[in-house]
Amino acid sequence: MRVTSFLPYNQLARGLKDQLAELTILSNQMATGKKISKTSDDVSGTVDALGYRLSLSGNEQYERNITRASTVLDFTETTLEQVASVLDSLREIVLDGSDSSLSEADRTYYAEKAALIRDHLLELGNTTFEDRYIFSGFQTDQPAYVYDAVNHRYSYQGDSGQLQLAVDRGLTQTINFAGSSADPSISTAFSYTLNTPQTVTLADGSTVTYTPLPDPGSGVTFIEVDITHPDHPGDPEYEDHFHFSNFMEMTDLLSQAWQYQDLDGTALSSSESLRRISAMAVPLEKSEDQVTLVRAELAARHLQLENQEEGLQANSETLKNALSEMEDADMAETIIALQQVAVTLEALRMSSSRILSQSLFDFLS
Amino acid sequence: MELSLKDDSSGADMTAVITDSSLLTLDEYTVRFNGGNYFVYNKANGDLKVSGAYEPLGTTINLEGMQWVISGAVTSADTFEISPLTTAVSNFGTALNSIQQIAASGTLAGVPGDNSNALLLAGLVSQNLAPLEASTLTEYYQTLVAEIGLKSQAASETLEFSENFLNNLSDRRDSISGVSLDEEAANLIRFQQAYQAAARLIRTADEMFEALMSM
Repeated sequence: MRVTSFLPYNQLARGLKDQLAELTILSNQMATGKKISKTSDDVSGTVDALGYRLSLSGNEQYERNITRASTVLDFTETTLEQVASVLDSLREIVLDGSDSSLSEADRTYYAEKAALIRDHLLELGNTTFEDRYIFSGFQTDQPAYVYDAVNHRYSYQGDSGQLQLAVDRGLTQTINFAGSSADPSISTAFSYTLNTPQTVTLADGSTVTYTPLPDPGSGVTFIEVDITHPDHPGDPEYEDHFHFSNFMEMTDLLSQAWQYQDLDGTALSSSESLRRISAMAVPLEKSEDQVTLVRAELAARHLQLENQEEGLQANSETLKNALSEMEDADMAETIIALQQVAVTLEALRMSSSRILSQSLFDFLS
Repeated sequence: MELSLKDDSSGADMTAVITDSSLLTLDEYTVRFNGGNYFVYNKANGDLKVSGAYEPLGTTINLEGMQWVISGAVTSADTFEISPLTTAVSNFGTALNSIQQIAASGTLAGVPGDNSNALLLAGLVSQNLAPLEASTLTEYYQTLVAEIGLKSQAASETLEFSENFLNNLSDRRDSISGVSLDEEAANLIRFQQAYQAAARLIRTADEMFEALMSM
């Protein structure tokens, strides 16, 4: 091919342009620390990096959810711890107060103490966290329990709602406990259910039967207690029926019994009242078991959350490494490449300045 | 959304409501009357959309998702203009203006602590969705990004090829029609020397002639 004068100039210009473009790319990589600055640099790399970044931000949200869930569970645990200790003190006075030789002053003392415990339990049942009632299921703007003065009941205003937080893709964790429920499969914090009727015999030979029944109105399970005496069938003095559906009602029954009266204030005989108190020992034990059970479940949820969080953190770490591998520039490599380009560019400039400045005329004298 | 209605009639009344917003078009309409008939025109291009007998006790016109009812005496000078556009923007509003209106609850009535709908919404991220060619939102977005990236890459490569092609062609053109300074310099010297040689020949001839003449 015939080489004309402008050809080397054009080629030099092109070479300079290419080298400068390369230099720009490399210095951009140096400046940003990323080897991919736009999708077309590395399509599959960008798509992968996008996936990693999405997973990472998902993980961050799940970690926030876990922190939130742990906080709520911690708070619930503190409340339930108090419920357990309150029930424990109630059991103590039931053991002491089921004695027939109690003076009136003693009875009043027990009745008042039970009433205090009842009110404390109500307060605990209506605990709020960030202005939400934590034992009301989904009805978080309603106190879980209110005293119904007409029927002398502590009625449950919540529902069986299980508040779930997403803790991983397709995985949720329940963060609340309903106070009471119509659904026996749900762990309830302030009431317990029985699968089958339970029967015990008291010290005086009376038979007490505890039967789980659904409340016809709310559907919430309550425990029907029937006291009979095999030696005195049909004798009203030896027969008693009452029911309760949560710890407050249970404690209220006890408090009234120490005052020798029913929930509505009807007088009860001393033997009837004492039988009631004795008959409450088993539900009390069941209640304590229930609280223990709920706390165990809570601890299990806590543990799951912790494991989940560890898993997420490890996963995030892997993702971050992969992301860095995918899009971060290797600094040493970039610097070397940058130097190579700089050297090439310099050589190109120097050699061309020498060669191109000469022509045949320079050698003609 | 509501229709804007301009009444240029002496004694007639008109009401207009939207019956099916999905059928609405971007057209505006003019209603005119002539000889006991009504005519509905497209306001922009004057096309006749629909016409019929006018009943002064109440004429109902159903057109493109709207229902108009005109009643009363009309003259041929009376017109009505109906537009679904005029008030469209001024009637725009934000449907959600309180955090309470976010339907997080799974039930229609809405329960304060229920987040089951919000969970379902969050779950959409990992669900295959039919409108997105049965892929998840993430996958679809990745495909989109890849598509754009590949197109951009292809465009860059085409540009590079075209540039190379152009350079090659201009090199070839220059190689034929371009000027080589060295070549020209050499030629210059060649012709200069030829000229000098010729000049020398002429001078020699001239000298010979001079010698001859001075004999």
